[in-house]
Amino acid sequence: MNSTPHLPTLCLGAKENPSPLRIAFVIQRYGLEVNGGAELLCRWVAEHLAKYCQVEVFTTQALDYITWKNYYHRGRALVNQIPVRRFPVRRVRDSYKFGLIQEYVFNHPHQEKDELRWLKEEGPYSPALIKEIKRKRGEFDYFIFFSYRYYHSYHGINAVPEKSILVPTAEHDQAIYLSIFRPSFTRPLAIVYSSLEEKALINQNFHNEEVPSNIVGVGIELPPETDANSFRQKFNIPGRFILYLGRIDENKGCPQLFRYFLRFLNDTKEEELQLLLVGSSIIEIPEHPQIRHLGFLPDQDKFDALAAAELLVMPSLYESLSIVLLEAWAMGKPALANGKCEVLRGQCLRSNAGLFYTSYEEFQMALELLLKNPSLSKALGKNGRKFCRQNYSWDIIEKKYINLINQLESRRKAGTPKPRA
Amino acid sequence: MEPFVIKDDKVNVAEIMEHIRQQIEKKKRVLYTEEELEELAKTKLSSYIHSSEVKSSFAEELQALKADWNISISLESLYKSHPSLYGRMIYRIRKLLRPVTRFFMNIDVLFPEFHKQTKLNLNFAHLLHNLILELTKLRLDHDELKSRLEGLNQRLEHQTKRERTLEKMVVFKKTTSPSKGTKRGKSSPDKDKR
Repeated sequence: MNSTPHLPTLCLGAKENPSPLRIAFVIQRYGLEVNGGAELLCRWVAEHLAKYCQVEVFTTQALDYITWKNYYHRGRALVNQIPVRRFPVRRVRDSYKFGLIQEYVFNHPHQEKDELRWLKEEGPYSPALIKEIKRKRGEFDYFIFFSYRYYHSYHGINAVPEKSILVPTAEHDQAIYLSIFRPSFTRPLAIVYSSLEEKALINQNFHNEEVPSNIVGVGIELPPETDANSFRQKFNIPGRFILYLGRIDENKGCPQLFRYFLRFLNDTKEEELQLLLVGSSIIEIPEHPQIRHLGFLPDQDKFDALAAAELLVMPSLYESLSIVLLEAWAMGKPALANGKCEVLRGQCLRSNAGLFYTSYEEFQMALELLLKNPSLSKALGKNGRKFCRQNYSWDIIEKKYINLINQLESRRKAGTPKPRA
Repeated sequence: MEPFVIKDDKVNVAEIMEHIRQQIEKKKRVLYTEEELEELAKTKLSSYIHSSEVKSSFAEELQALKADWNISISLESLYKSHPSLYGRMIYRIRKLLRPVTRFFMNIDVLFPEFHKQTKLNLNFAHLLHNLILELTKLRLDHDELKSRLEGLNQRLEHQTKRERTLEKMVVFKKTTSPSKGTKRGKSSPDKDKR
């Protein structure tokens, strides 16, 4: 055993929690009902790190990310045995006002105060959460902030920079170019990136290479069994289908997917192939017999759908890491992703498990290639499974977090000065 | 598309993508790719929308077929006010007076109409988007055909001139003496080769 009992490495693999190391997770929304990649990532990481240290979550009472309306009760709660403190959102988001400010900030010359106003309008505006973080700074060793672009991360990191770790979940959209976020990427003790491309994007923008960091991502867990046939029977889908999993939204590239798929059907005269959409929709879905929307499904149905699908299609332009893509690969399914998203393209190339497209012609050819070559699909799927096993198992993810915290602990004990603002 | 051969379960996505791109290059018969066409259509659309009349992102939203610009109204939004304390008070008062307003008019009849209008707007947006794309394609085809026609015209003119020259030469040959004609006869094949 190591002589420094505070180091969490001592507890690696332990079921109990003897380490006194206390870590606070700070996230915009938290709960089993919450949909969203960053929120899911935060919950999973918190639950897994709870094996090694004392974990607590600081969040708001919001459930939906459009209005941030208070939904949960204020105060303490337990979510999968993790203590959670929820704070009120002082005002709901006015979409119209936010849209106007965002349009101005993203498209016109502006000042820093305009960006701060944008941040406040974006929300979730919860000064009580920031106040509590400041009040509890002495009780926690580290504060891990998820999603750089929201109010809680910006003000939270400014409140406790000497104890903060950022998991940016940054996408290549216009928000990343706002100048107010420079301190968010230069002041934290460390940054946990989700992908190589996310790190490159942030390094290029903020020149923060000297901030300790690691590319970690997320662990993928599959259900013990999946049943493709029962899914087909349950939803009456006898034929072949390609699957889209996730929120059906403009930002996820769904309108382009609909256009491309309908054109594909028209060009190839495919009469059997269906596009199956699983997830809640906030845009209109074209009425077509070969496009089916099943709504939000429980996890088991989702994995059964993956087992039955020919491939997963991921049309999103903005991703820091796609969890569903990794889940599809873990299930041995190939993917067809939007190549204009650097992260998806990079993941497809590194894993050798998915094709990508940057135009309709590429979409058509790649899809045809995958549908007509079962051996290619099988080989891609096999690569995907291997890629996930080697990089995205929870053992590996936990170790990466623990190693990073260990490094920070060693620095702290050695009295190494923290990176400057 | 040419069949793609998988050897020993080893695949290289970069190679496959390169193969796909090569196939597209082979298949390409038009001057522009789909993406370039969309870009051109976007520029065309922007030129129709005067920036002083419409917000700057409108063209982009319409091009992306985003529904943000569309009508979105619910019964609840009719009663809503600003989310301040005063606004909330107004909202409650309006809600309380709801039965009274309902007594004077039937608001519910508006919503199916709004819904119809929303759908119609969306269909028009799709139609407009596709028409502009089609128009751009046709314009490009038209430009290409026009330039080909011009090229053909030039060649035709050249051929006509050549034909006339040759005809004159034949006439000249007939009228000249045999000794001079031999000289001309030597040079004419060179002219033909040109």
